[in-house]
Amino acid sequence: MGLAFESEKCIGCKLCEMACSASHEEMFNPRLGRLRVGSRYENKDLVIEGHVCILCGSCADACPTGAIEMKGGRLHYSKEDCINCGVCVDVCPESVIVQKEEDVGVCDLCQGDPWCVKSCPHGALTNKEVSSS
Amino acid sequence: MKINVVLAGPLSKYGNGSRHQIVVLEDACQLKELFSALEIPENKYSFAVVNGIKSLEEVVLQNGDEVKIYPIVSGG
Amino acid sequence: MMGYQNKVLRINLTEKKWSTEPLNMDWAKKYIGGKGLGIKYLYEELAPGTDPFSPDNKLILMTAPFTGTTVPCSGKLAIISRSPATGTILDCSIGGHIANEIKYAGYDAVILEGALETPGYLYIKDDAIEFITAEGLWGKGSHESETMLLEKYGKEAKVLSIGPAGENLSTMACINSEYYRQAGRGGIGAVMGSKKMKAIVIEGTGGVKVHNMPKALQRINEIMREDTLTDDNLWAYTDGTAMLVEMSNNTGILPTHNFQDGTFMGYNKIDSEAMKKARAGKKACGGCALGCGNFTRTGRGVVEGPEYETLALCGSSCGIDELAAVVKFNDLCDDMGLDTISAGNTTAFAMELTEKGIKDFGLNFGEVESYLKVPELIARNEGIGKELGLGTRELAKRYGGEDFAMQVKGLEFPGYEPRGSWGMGLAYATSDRGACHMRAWPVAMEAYGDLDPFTIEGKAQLVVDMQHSNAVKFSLILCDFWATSEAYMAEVLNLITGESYTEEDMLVIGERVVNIARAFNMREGFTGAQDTLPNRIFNDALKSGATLGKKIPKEEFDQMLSEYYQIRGWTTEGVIGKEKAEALGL
Repeated sequence: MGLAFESEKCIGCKLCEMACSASHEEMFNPRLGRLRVGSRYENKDLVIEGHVCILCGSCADACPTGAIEMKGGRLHYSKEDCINCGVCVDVCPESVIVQKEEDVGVCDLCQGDPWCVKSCPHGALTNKEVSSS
Repeated sequence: MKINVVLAGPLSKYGNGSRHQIVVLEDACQLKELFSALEIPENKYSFAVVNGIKSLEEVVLQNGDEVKIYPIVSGG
Repeated sequence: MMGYQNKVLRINLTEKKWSTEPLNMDWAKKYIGGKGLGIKYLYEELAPGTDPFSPDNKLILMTAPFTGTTVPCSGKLAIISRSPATGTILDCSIGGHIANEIKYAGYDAVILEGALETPGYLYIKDDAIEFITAEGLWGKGSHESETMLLEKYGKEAKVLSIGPAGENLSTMACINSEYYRQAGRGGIGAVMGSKKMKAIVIEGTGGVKVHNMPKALQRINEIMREDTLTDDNLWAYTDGTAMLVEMSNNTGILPTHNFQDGTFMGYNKIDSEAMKKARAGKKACGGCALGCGNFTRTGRGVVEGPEYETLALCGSSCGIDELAAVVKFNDLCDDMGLDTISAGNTTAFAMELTEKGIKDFGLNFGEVESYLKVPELIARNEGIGKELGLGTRELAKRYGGEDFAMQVKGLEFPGYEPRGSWGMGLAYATSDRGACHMRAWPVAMEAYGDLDPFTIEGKAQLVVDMQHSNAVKFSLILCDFWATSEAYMAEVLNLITGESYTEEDMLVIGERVVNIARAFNMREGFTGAQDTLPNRIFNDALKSGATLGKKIPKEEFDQMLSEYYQIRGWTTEGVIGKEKAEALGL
């Protein structure tokens, strides 16, 4: 049901974040990716975490103008309808909605062929489609 | 004859994931026939060591020989 | 040209001022970035004869067009300066995620000039630059310092730091990032220490733009699948560099007991199979599809590593076959901010001096407890560390043993025995920064390949070709673990920049970079006389295994060197010929 992240396979390369930002924002900027992965050393341990859109629909529910909609198993975002209130950013349980200057960045599963999945070298990210919502 | 093979590093994939393999060959086979038996293409390994000695593929193997095969490595 | 930020941040530490300027695009077209462009900048800006510890020396952090993009294996930063260990040009390479962060902050390069009056660190967030006191950090290990800085600035910040070794100006001091990644060799950490700079903290919120993003994204992803994630390179992912321990031992080139031998009895206790049993995770640099980093946990502690070089120089060369001990030594070096190659080499040299009764350092091959005390003693300049910290060349001048001080130009040997791979001997002798395996690595074709290792035939050309290939690679910046062709390099460079470089252009740029490095050294007074090896290589035969009885006859080495100069268009004294300099537009 959408994106899945397996930390045992993640090497922390962040190719996913770079590809996501590049495909949506025309530049490589991991902070603009609609997902977050991190691999770091803390207290002599290697800590790996990943956050992806889990298709919970909280953003669509919270959006006051309907700029975010859940349809056909993925999110749809309309910039024209967005008033940039930022409520979606706050309610997202995975904190993967990106706040930009004039609008927000929402994971749309790249309309079926996610760039993050394609860019992951060792299969830490996978996408399982559901046929209807 | 039985050859004791060690498939180093990523080459274990030619042994179904196992680093150690025992390969049965006809007597007096050359090293290159061991590669064929394991289906390791020529350009997928860097060198092989027979009983501790780096050997060319024409070397004739004997029963009980230990052969270690090493992957291609880049960089330094 | 796309792919660049077209901005250089220049920081004057003496006056605590900074400015930005456009990147010199004429130079960028000819040297690309990273190693090549960094050396060009230093060559043009540094006055000959500048003491490496003088405030006039510069520390250049140089990225490249590939930095910060999805180009596989592109996440490395070049750091360039004049080497305190050798006096030559020095370019180091550090992985992790720091290179990308500098690019996202909006800079192609950061040039550090002058020196702080009192210890401090820099905080850079995009355009904002702060000078902050290092009180409370100075004197602490690199690990504790990084932890404290990440607590202050948050986990997304990236940190470069030095340990006590750099603070105390050790010629084997390194610069660290993410605890276990280093810009290792030649005393680069001591340059930072001489500027009283404990750390640089960077956050970048911007991005990198390329010529045609949809096309670049698509094609680069294809290239990752078809050329990076291939059997040739996957050893780095499955095993990491420790793979080479077994391979070197079985071809007789694993440094053993200070290069007295090339085969080590305990090799299988410190090889990649032993390390897999202690593996606790895998880690990659930014943008790397391979992920060679192995997080290792043993009874004596943890480290990301040990890498092959550390297993060889701090393991077999010191006669240590206990993996946990090498892990501990590695972790201590990382924390103290010491290059494991030089620290291990110098320890082994001291072991041999002790063994031969020339000078008793209280260190013996295979003895763990005294060996584990060495990194901190060197870093803090205490006890035997005061002398070991001088490095093998100076130590030999003081006590003798010059013939087996395994160094070139003052930089200690990496982990490949040249008597078992003669081309490697030429590579060590002619590398721009002293004995180094990162400029040319003939081992791949000789000891590990089909070429006869024990002949000079064809080796001069081989070393020349490999030096060009690696020089351009480290200017694009690509990690050498992605074994790729100049054709792919040019294709990717064009996708990023929108230019039309050819395969031939890549090789010309590689040659140009090698020559500008040579020109820097010549200007500092180096000649062919320093392109040599310690007498052990010429006189002492190896004692066992695949290289039993092997040494390199001096006459053959001289012939190989002379052929190398000829191929390069250099004089018989190893000086760049006028025609060659003009042809390359130096």
